[in-house]
Amino acid sequence: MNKTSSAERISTDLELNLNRLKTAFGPSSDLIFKRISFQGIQAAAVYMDGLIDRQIVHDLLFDSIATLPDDHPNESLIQQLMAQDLSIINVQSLTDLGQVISAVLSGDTVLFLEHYEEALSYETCGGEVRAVTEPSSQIVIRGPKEGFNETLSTNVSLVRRRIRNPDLWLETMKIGSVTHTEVAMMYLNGTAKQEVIGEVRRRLQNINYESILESGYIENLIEEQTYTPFPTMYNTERPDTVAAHILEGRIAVFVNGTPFVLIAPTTFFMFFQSAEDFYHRTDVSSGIRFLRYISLFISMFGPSIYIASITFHQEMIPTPLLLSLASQRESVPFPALVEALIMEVSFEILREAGIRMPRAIGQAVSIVGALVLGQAAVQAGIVSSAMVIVVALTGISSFTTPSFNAALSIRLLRFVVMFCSAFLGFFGIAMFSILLTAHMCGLRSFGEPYLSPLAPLQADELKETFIRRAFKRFKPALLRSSSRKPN
Amino acid sequence: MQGNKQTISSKQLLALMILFEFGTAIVVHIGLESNHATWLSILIAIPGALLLYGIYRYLYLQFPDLIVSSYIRKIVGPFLSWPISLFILAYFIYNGARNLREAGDLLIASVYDETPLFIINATMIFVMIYVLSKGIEVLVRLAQVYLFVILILGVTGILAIVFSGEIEFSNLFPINGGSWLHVLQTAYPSILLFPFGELFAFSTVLPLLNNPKQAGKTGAIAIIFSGLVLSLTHGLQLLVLGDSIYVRSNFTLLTTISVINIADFLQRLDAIVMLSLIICVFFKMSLYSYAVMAIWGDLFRIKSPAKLAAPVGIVVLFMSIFSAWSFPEHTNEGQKASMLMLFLVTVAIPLLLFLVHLAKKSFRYFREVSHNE
Amino acid sequence: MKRIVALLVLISLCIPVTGCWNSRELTDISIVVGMGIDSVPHSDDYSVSFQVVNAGALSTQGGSQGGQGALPIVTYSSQDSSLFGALRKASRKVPRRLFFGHIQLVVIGEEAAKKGIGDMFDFFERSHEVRLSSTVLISRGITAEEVISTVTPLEKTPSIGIAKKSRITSQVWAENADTNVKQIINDLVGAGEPIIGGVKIIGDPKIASMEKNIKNSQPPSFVLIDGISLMKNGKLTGWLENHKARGVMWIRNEMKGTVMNLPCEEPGNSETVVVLRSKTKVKPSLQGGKPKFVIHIKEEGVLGETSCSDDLSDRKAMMRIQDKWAAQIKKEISATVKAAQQAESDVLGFGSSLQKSYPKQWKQMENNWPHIFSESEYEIQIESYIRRAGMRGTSFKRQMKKEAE
Repeated sequence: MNKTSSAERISTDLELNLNRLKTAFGPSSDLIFKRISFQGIQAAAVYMDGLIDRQIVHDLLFDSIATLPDDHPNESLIQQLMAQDLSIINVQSLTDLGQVISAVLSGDTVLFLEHYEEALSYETCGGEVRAVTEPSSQIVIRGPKEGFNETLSTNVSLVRRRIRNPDLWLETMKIGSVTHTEVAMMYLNGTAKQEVIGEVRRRLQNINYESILESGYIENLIEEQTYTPFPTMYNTERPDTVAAHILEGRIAVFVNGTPFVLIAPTTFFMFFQSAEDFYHRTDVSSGIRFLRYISLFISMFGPSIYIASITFHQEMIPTPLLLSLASQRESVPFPALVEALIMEVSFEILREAGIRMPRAIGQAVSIVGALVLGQAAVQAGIVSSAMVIVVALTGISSFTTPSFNAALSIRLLRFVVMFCSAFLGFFGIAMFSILLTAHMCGLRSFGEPYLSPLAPLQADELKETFIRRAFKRFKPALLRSSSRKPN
Repeated sequence: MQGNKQTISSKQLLALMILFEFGTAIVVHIGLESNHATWLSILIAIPGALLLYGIYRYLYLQFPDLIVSSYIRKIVGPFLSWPISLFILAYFIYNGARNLREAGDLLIASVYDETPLFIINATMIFVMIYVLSKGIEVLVRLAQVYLFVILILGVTGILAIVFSGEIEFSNLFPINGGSWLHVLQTAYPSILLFPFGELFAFSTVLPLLNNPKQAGKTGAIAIIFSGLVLSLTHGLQLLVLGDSIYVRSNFTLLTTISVINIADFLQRLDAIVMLSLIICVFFKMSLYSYAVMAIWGDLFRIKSPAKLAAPVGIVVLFMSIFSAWSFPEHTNEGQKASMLMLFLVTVAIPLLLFLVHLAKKSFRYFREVSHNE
Repeated sequence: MKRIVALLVLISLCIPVTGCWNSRELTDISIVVGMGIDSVPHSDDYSVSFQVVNAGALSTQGGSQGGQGALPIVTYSSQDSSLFGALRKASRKVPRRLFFGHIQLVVIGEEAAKKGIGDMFDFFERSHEVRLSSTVLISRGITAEEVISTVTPLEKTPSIGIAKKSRITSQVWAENADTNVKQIINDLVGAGEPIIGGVKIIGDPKIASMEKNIKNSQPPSFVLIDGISLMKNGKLTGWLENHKARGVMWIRNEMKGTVMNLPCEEPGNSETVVVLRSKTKVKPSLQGGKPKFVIHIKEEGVLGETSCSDDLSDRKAMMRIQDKWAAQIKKEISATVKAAQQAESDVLGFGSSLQKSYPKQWKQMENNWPHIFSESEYEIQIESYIRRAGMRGTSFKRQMKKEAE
């Protein structure tokens, strides 16, 4: 923030004001000054090109302001302008330069008048933004295809459209000492718990950081524990998901500049639910949810079980399979753990490369990577076919997780479990999973235990977590406070 | 549920109790000697166990906020209470170490034959220290999660046994294994003490219950459920293995599961047994260690007993290594010395406390009555 | 404080680097699928032989070296006074560590069986690797090592093949018992004697272990399962063969299926009944201190083949066949019981049924049981039902006969 002009009052000298602004903004060529005169007064409109809607500004300056009727020569011009009926544009009067700067940076047009100590700011936000399109992650087959975009107001409106209820409250604030990013909290009053609302608000207000470019920054800054592989806040690009969570009593945090909205508090099982689950029939959804949990298990423990069976517990593998595996491994010079690591790391490299690669080459590389490399590696005797299959299955299972950041955590944990299994076989895997579960049991997300409703046990909710019950018996009541009755 | 006073719900207590009762009892023999009709003895021991638990519950309800060492102090006065509490403390440490030793030895005997005992025990202790240092709430939540896991494993195992066709009902007869007297003797006192009497360790946990009235119901459900499951499991083991092998085997459940061969595909499902053993023993050992931490914290007025997790864990670890030179010696010790101590701690002491407290109460009542006259 | 803990944790993580104790790579182990136990003549030692899988030869991958076209198994043997000792001693010959978690077959040499099998089985029980469900056979006329060394066509790993053979034949022909280690131990400790199937090699045993045995569509030597053992106190005393062996399976309620030929009225022809289900109950009773056993068998069968000319649509004819069948079974079982009693070997499970029903009296008879067994009375009751006659009614032969008239 520029030190010179923060608390300075607007002077009556137009040129002085304009010069101060020019000093504050430096050589920024997108700060536009438009001088106009009407009713014999010199005036200048200041706005930031790109943050404003040009049509509105044009109409404002040249239709509304310039044509202000000269009916009341005794009233101050400011009064007249403020009283003007400008349909939907809000007008505010500002008294110091700091406010002016803030307003201009928000996309307002500020009107300075010679001889007046006040300036008027007209809300004229606009500019190029991305259209509301299908979200890039969390795709559903059936369901709305709207996704958030980078503008806070658009995002908030998308949720408002879904919950038309006055109890849907919105609190906005600006966070980031340099970036002044607009951040908003949205919740359903009466449903969300007061303690949680207060906690979120408190943590947001306590943020002391310079730049907030993405909701991930906010997430990192208000999370309770940083030494955990598990995310404690959920993020999503989908308005329907946000609306559903708000209705359950959670709080959504919007950050200007990113389509990813945060949701708190979070439980572990939220990461394995997709919005689509509620749009399909119960039995289908239950089956798919069940499949997701199995995939979770496979993606975390797949290679480890393979390594443990092959190196410690050979008696558990059926004899014909064991003989076949033995004959495959004859030609591989590495121990099972090394082989698994090679394959897993290659798979991760392929995956990361696949994300960054330009579309045109992407397809070719995936075919090359999967088929040719895998086959060639087996032929060359670097890995065994069974390992290729295990790694492929594991990799694909990790894609079934609807939430990307949870999938990331599990991918990383998979490596740790592999080491545990190579060290102590199934005992190692069992001990590590106890450790991990204990860690999750002790984790809280804004006061909510991470493993609800499994532990502490809430039997009703539990059924909803693992399978889906019919709507008639569905009573979402996870975080409801007493005032609102369940539907 | 944030706040300094940690509370546990009755469902969580139930989960912890059940897992505690399973302990090592579900995979190896219970009672003094291995017996043909263990399954029957277990069923017979259940009523006695309920009675015994009734005593613990009574003592708890008299002092709903105090753990064992505190209410001992109230009943018999500060001088006597110290040695008693210390004795209980020492016994809990020893029993926790014994369980750890048994689990480690079984794992080594069955699968990890070349791994040093220290490594296996140390791994378990390490995880236990982590869990206990987070507080009892984490432990009971973990118990809830793992109760599900154990139930799933159990059902899978039982289905596998049933479908393998290895069961021969003729192995059940003669039902009493030769003598009814023997069956009764195994039930009382041996099975009564282990595993049911060990519930006395929960006297350090019951004060945390958020609804004291549930203590009785929870304990009763835990005893009956675990008793039935244990009886079923041992019965199945007998049916599959036959008299001789069942009685002589060290690790009966593992031997049972290892003969399962379904369609030449599902073979040697040892992992199920291993996992069950590890999980149940983990909780048993953790609860004993928690009891030690609680009593120690209470006796020496330590503010946050959670910090004691590491020292207690290390003591248990080393005690488990040094308690016996070999597994047969460990079993032998269990039969003789441990039985006596177990009897003292879980039956004699609570019974004495109960009687003394009752006497004091009625004495006070009579004194009041005579005063009023 | 946190840093110290973190440092300790990091240091302790270096422990795994020193080597994992129980970790065995698949390329470090040789999977033993079959084991043979012989006794060394003139000594108390055992000669133990192992059939080890040659994993490279089983390989179907392209890039494997070593073993294409080689035999799928290799046999090693070693001698020592204990089984475990012989196992470890074999490490002097075997290039990898022996792994017993997949033993399918255990063959005991005839001579070793005569000396007594009780001593051998402690190892099987105590070890955690060896499977209790491995099939056990006794070799007849040859050493166990020779059986273990055979290569068989159709099944790449011969031990699996022989174990399968034993199991299948006990289910369809029932002149053989498919016993595993667990059952043997239970029988040794229990009231009666274990029954173990016998195995022979037809043809030259030397050729049986060579490659040309499998490269021939008519293998010159092959393995034959033959007979059920008769034992006294765990020592082999004789063999029951053919229909007498079948009787044992019946009495022990292990009959799962077999085929019986019944002579017709016309000489030279017979009809065949396929046994589908069979349930046997042996009821013991004590009459004046002496045991009597009532053997009650309920059978269900199907007519499988006939060269007789009965009219099968006639109810009376079917009942006649049923009675013939029952009589034949009775004859066979009588012969079996007589043979077992003569050998004083309770392979029929009489002792254990007596023990279960009369535990007190059993205690007094226990020591003298083989003798008491040989003098026990028995009664055989048979209920037999022929349910179906396959896909045809009356045989075409009968029609032929009609036309000829």
